[in-house]
Amino acid sequence: MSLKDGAGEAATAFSRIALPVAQDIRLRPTGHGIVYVVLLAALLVGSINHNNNLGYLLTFLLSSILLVSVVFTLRNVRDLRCQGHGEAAVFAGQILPFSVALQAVDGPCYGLRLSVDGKTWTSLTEVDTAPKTCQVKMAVSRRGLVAMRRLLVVSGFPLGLLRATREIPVTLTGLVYPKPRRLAARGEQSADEREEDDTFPNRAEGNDFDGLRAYRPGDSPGRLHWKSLAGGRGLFSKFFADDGGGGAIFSLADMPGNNLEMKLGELCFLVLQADGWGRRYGLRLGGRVIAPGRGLPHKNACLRALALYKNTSNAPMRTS
Amino acid sequence: MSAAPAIFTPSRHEAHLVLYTVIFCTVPHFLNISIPTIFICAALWAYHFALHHWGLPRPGRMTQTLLGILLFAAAIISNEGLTVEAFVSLLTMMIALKLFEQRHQRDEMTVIILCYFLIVSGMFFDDSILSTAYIFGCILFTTAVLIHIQFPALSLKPSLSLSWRLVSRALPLMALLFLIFPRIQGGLWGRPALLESNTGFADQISFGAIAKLAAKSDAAFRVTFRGDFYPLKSQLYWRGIVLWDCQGDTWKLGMRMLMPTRETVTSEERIDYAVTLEPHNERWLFALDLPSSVESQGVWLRGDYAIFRQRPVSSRLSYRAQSVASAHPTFHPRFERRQALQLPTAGGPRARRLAEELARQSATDAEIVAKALDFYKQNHFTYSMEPPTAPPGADAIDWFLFESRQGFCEHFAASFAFLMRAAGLPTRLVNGYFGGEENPLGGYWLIRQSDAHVWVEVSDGERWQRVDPTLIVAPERGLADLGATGGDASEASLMSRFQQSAFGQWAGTLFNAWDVANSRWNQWVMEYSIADQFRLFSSLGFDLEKLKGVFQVLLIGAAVVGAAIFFVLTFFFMRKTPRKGDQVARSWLLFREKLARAGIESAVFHGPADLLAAVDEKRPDLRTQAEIITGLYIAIRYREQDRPETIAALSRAVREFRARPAAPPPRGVAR
Repeated sequence: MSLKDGAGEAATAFSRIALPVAQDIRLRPTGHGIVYVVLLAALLVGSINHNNNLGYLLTFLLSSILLVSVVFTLRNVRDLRCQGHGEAAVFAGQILPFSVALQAVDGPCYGLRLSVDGKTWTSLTEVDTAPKTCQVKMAVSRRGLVAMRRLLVVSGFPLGLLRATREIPVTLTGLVYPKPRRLAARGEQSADEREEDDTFPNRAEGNDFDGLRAYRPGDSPGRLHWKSLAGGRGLFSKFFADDGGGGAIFSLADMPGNNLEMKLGELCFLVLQADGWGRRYGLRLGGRVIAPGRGLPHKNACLRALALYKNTSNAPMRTS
Repeated sequence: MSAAPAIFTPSRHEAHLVLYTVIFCTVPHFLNISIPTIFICAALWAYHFALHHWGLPRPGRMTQTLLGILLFAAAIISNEGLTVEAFVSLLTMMIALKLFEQRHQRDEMTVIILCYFLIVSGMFFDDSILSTAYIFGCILFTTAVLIHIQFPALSLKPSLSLSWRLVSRALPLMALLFLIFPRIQGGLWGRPALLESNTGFADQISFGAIAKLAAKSDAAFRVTFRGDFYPLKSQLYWRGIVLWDCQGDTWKLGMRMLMPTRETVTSEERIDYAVTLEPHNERWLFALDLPSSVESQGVWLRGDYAIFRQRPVSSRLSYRAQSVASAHPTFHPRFERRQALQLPTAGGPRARRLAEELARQSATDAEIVAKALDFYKQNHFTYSMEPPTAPPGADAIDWFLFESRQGFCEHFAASFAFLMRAAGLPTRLVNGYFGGEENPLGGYWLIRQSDAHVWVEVSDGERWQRVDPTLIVAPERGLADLGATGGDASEASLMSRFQQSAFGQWAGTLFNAWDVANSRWNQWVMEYSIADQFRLFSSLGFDLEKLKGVFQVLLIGAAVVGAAIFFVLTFFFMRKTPRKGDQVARSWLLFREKLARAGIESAVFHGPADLLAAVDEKRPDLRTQAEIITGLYIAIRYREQDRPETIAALSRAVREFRARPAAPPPRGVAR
């Protein structure tokens, strides 16, 4: 892996120098392309040996087709306009989806594969002159702000014998929350794996609620009143009276242990749990305090704070 | 870079398209590959079609491997060893087999690419316009299918149009490469034999061999007369080889060591002409009787005026020659008499008795000849392309002369020559062609395989005189209406009858036009040679001939090709690599590699701070070293402090960075 990433890093370093548009495209033969070239060499040798002009003619025809296809291959990745938009957020260990708007500049582009990290690829059969949005995914393992500055577009069009890779400068940002970690899982890592499903707990059974109100986007799924939905009355959320103003404040300083990442994971779990139960909660991270509250915006603010706490990877990276 | 390949099930439509491609590319080879191979291919295709159409079971890997070995053996055995045909048979069967192994899209692609190879290998067999057009069509279709199976967003029709755009744009480049690519006349090494051509003109005749040739209306060669003198139609005897060695009903070359002729036929009426000979894989050429000189490399005129060539004619050959129609070869009793009277000790007893009787009755040699011809004339011999074969045990010569009395040129010539030798006259057989057909549109004569002919030369003591006993029996063969005649059911005779009608004349003109087109195609494209290349370059102002020698030409060619390849490589295959000057990137790369070896792996999108955090977590003992490096890196990259000394410091720090392999993490420590 180090080699591949090395190439990526090298490319990163190289792209600091402003290059003409055509030079952000690399072209390589595919496995079949190499077979094809070997075939051409064999045909050429056969033609020379037999002094066969038809052989020469056909060998040069096939070679010329390959050379002409280069133009089509380059054009297929060049005439593409790309724009990243929106900010996705996931938990560490999940797949981060970036939204990318694609548009062909001049006639459709075919058979594109997109990636931001060179590992996970999204395939598109066709991109037309009408803008089209697709998701480019990337596996993330660390919390923090992810900013990808380039999008790799790869295509073997039209013959699949050559593959062009273009690096398109884009701004794709995503937020990675810490991986939620059960408090009980501390010290026994395997339990954490086993009870993965419990990571996002629903509200405990038996607790009464105070009423129903119409569903508003952002309401926790744990608070949906499924019975009314099943009864055909529409979507309602359960509504809880504030339990006495204050609510819990989860403090980083109160968490046992020395490992910051582990503690943040546990805080994340607590936040999700409290949100699932519909409780009011707040967060204290070092000097920063988020006052108790509830609801999606509040939850997101908390998770964001957890993601960005003392995180240096959101330094203004030039690329990647 | 590759995503995990999805489980690939080619759609029926796609599978059928690939199958059609294979069929299109294989069909022209049906003429070249053995019959069993054709059946095997057809069976495999049918099964493949059924497999996708009705969902029959797909053969397993084991079955495929076994089948592959069997087919390999079959291809070699059915084609007599390692010939081009065997190679093509093998290729067709392997492709047919590979059709079953389509687990991924790449398998389909492999089949398609092999199809390119298969269709192009048709170059060895037929380079006519029609064949070339078919091959181009196949390449067009194959390219379209190659596009379509990979990019289903393009259905077949747009794929075809894209393929056409690719091919049509490739044509000028192809033409350029074709014109400038240096030609090497001799080839690189020995050429594998082609079976097909060997059935052409053989170096021996036995009763029945010419009939096979006569049934073929393929072109043998074309002749353009250049000078002021033209032969009469009755003089169109195209001399090939001379057969000396009589073994009863079979005549062989004999006299292999004949020296080049020392005498020169000189005459005012010298006929000058150019011959374009189709490849026949034998070592002789043809010329109008009697050739005085032949202009071609590695060719010599033998003492018996047969023209031999050092190497077999394996590709189309053009040469100039001169002949004197009225000349006769000199008889050299010292060298030739013994060979020209040789007869097998046994065989043809009745024929020998007849010959002795003829000799007794005649006063002169000329009378013997005349009386022998009378024998043919008076005994109701008939010309037939399909004569009855002699019953087993019967003497072939006697049976022909006294029983069946049906045959064609070869029977007449061979039996006549036997009689002459038995009568004590030095005699030899000449194998060649007779006649030809003028193509008024192209201004040349076309001589077909069906014009093959055998005649006799009898010595009058000083010179060899031509005697053609066939003309006694079938005088129509010598008439103006040449071409292959006389056969009752032969294709050629059908054609000559056909040509009588108005439609026939129209069709004849059409045929002539087509033959002209083929002839021009051969002349201008298929015979493009070093000489033409010289002419082309000198017309452009480069005098290659001044450079002399193939070596220099090769050097120039190699330089041109090398430059082209270099251009392609640098321009198209350019890869982004860090410039030499970018010390920072290399140092950082090295640092990450070292960390990876120490067990701290990082991804592209991890910045220096990330890396440091990872070091913190996994190898706190490396923290101090790593901190210096990342600090320097951040300073250079993000704070624009890229002074040479900072860069040098970074590279030194990275060089000195030593990470011992990670010790096993201490147990029992709460993490």
